[in-house]
Amino acid sequence: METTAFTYTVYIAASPRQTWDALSSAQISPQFWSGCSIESDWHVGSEVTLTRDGGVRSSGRILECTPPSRLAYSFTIRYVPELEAEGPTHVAFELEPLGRQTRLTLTHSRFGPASKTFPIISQSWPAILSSLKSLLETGQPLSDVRRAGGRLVAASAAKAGRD
Amino acid sequence: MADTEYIYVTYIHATPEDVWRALTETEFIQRYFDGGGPKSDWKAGSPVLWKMDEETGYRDWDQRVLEADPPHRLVYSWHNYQKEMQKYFPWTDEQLVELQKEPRARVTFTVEPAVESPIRPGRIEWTKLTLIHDGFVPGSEMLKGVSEGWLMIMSKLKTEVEAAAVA
Repeated sequence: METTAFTYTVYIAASPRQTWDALSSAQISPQFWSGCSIESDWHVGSEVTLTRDGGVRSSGRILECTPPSRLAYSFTIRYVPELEAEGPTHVAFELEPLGRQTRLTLTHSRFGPASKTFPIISQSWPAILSSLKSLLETGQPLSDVRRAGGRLVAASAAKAGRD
Repeated sequence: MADTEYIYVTYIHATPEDVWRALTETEFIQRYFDGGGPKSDWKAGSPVLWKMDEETGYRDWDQRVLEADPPHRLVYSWHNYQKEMQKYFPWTDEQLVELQKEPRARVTFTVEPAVESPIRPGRIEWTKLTLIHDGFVPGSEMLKGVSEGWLMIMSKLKTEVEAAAVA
């Protein structure tokens, strides 16, 4: 029996087009996606990668792309062999306009039993999508989601010159 | 998430104190709680009055503060099904009598520091807010009713807290 799907829904005070652009832009994505740039030519069947500091964090293939309403791609973590071996999961975004807001629903599914990818993405998606909402509404995203683990951590610890 | 509870996590660009104020100050609550929501002095054991919408006043539906530990944790009991809610839900009077036999649910808010300022030690820049609404029976009508509502409320809470923080 496969692990249940992870879903997260949020209302964002921005249009579906603005939200779609942020989710699919190599320039905007690093701002809210912990420095990860999402890249693809966005054609069904094409590769999609999440890259940070020159390294591929995850990759997959575009399965559906209907801007600005529905985006789906396969997703495999690449930076840990054990997670890579779990094989591709399925990421889908639905963007619905509601008044001047967008109702954004993320469904991450097709995990195998006892998936180790599942708890990782369950922690990171609420932070990434909260950061996206802040970026679109206030211009100030949560720049490093890795550090927002629910415990107190200092941001930008890797900054040069910091003691 | 089990079918007896609703859970929502959000990260807010504000301090835990800002988030606590948003959860407990009546005027602030009304900004994101659809013109209504809870009203209390938020001391353990105190009543929590409930305003269902713009037109209805605050009602005492026997809700209580169960725990209050500012700015970290807030727990209060939920209300039972009320006749006044029939304007929003398709329950008959007979169905209402059956529904009112369900146990009362409980709302828990947990407010945690998530990111500290790199230049001002001790200053929290991002706060993680977790809502757990639990104590429902499987298939509860009340749970179905509150799930979509909480989603909108929590989204709006984040928007309002961040707008107030930059103002």
